[in-house]
Amino acid sequence: MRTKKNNKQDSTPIYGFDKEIGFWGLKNLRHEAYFDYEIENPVKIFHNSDGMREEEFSIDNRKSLLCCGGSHTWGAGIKQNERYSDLLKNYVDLRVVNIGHCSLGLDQIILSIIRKTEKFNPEIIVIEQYVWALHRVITKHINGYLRPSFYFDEHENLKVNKIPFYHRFKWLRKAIGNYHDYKKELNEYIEGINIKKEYNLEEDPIFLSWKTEFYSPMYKLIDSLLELIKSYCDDNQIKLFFCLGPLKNQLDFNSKSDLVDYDLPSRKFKSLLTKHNINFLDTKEHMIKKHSQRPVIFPDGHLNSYGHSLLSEIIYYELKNLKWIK
Amino acid sequence: MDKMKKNLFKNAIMMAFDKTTLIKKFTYISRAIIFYIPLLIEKKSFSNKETDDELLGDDIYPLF
Repeated sequence: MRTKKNNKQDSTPIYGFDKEIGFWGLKNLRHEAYFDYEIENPVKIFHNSDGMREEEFSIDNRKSLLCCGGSHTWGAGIKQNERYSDLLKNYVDLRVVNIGHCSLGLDQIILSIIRKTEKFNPEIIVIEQYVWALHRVITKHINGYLRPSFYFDEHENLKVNKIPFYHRFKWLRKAIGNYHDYKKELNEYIEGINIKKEYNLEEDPIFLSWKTEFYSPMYKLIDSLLELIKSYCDDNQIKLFFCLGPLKNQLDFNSKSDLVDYDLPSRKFKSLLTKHNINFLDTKEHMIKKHSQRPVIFPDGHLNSYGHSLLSEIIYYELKNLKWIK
Repeated sequence: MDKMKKNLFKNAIMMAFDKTTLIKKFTYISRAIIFYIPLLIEKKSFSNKETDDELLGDDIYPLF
């Protein structure tokens, strides 16, 4: 995302340090954002006092439908009222709350649900997942912020590192982040992955079948994270639903080889969702059909307003089929 | 030097020399020197872990 100030382009942050999630939306943000692909159409961004791109909520006993996810859910490139969560408000009796944020990984989404949403009294949680972004769970440093890191202890129990207080200092984050970036690059280099030198989205290593071994710790972590969120939802009588958004690769590219498989991460992710008996829907087929008539994504892969309207319909009908809403 | 130290050292140097410009090579050698000890400590603590294949125990909730 780019922003424009005094006719000069700059990158203004929309999120800041958060001691629980690593980073979170800036509270009470009022901003006009210029996205690269929509440079002529600035988008007004308002964050409420919780740092969410939502209206101000009064705390009451109303049940909520929570929409969680990354930049797609947050609404990159589109107006607030064009997002799938805002469109769902027209169909659903529940209070719809969007807690999406740019660059969040699945681990942070799960942490934010557990630590930040109790006051919304959620009845249904919809997690929109762009499966390419699953790799964030094994990335320690992103956009100048250090993420909370989940790991397995010596007894193979899932644990999470608390974010140290000194991570609020930018220069310290930068120094520690440099170390994590170097370590990641070295590990990738050892596995024959060189993203810095010759990155090509069409051949992103997450889609390469011969690099699956490198990502197996990631899928192992995701497996445990899904178990965690499922048990949290079951314990709190919350209905959990995953919605898999279409990947740019699936919509715009044709794989040059069977070994470059754009469905690989979603197939693995779906098998884990099935294993944990979590309801989900892969929107790929539906979106591909519509995309051939009219684009559903921006050039960078984010859903455009048409994509969001389709997504809201898909989610609505699926929740209705499940008899979770009337 | 044991095998782990040797491998780490070798890979860090190979990555530095794989960079295209002299400045990048120099930067990556400097990083390899600075980060060598913390990397080694992390690698050692990782290799000392027991590697049972079980995924999750019952005590996931102490996290929260």
